Amino acid sequence: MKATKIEFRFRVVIMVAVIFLGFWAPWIEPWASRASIAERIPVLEWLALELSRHGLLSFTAASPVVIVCAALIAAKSAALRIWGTAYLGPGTVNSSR
Amino acid sequence: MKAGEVQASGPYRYVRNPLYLGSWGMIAAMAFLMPPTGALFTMVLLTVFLMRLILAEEAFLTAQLGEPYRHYLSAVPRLIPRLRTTLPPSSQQPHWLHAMIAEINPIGVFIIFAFLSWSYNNRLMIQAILVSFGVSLVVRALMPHVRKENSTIA
Repeated sequence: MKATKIEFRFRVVIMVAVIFLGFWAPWIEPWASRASIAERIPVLEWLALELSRHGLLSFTAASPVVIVCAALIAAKSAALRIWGTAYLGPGTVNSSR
Repeated sequence: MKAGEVQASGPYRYVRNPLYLGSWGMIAAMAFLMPPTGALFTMVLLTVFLMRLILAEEAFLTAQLGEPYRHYLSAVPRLIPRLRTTLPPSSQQPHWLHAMIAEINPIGVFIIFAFLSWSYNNRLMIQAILVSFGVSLVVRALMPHVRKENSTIA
């Protein structure tokens, strides 16, 4: 289950490739143009549609709710990464005695 | 690391992998701009991949640091942060400016969601994410110490 040395070395490239494939989603339309990729329904809109379809919220109310959720996730992640990087160093975890 | 009372600093007192957790969250936020199947694909693959990286890193550190690190593993959860900790703080000082510069991409993703998402323009947001990623690469290339210190993280 552990990552190999090659995976570790190319971890950023692998992550970027997976994210790129997620945006492209070639299984939907393999030869889609950039314009048509950008016009696909994103999760942001899809979630708002689903919330309104299930009668939980109207679409006009669901859209900002989904946007705020996404922004909160992004804010917490950025804060966690900044906090973690700020304390990263040789003394991050050590032993006193 | 010598044997004895284990200390940790900042978020490392509450969770062992705050940087991986932050990366996962940042990509989860970006997945809101993908088509639903693309988001599912990305999150499943990245969750598995990040877990593999974490397991490799923890095995490496256990082999390198021995008993104190094993104590740390038992005291601090891997991914779900604790709200309280019994681990004493270490003397490690934070470098906030360095951290802000090194983490330009997550900051950019947050700014995009906080301000650009209200335009409901998916293409504009994807382009802004690409710009944010490009800027973070340039900054890392221009600041070797940022690149070096972050080479141990995702």
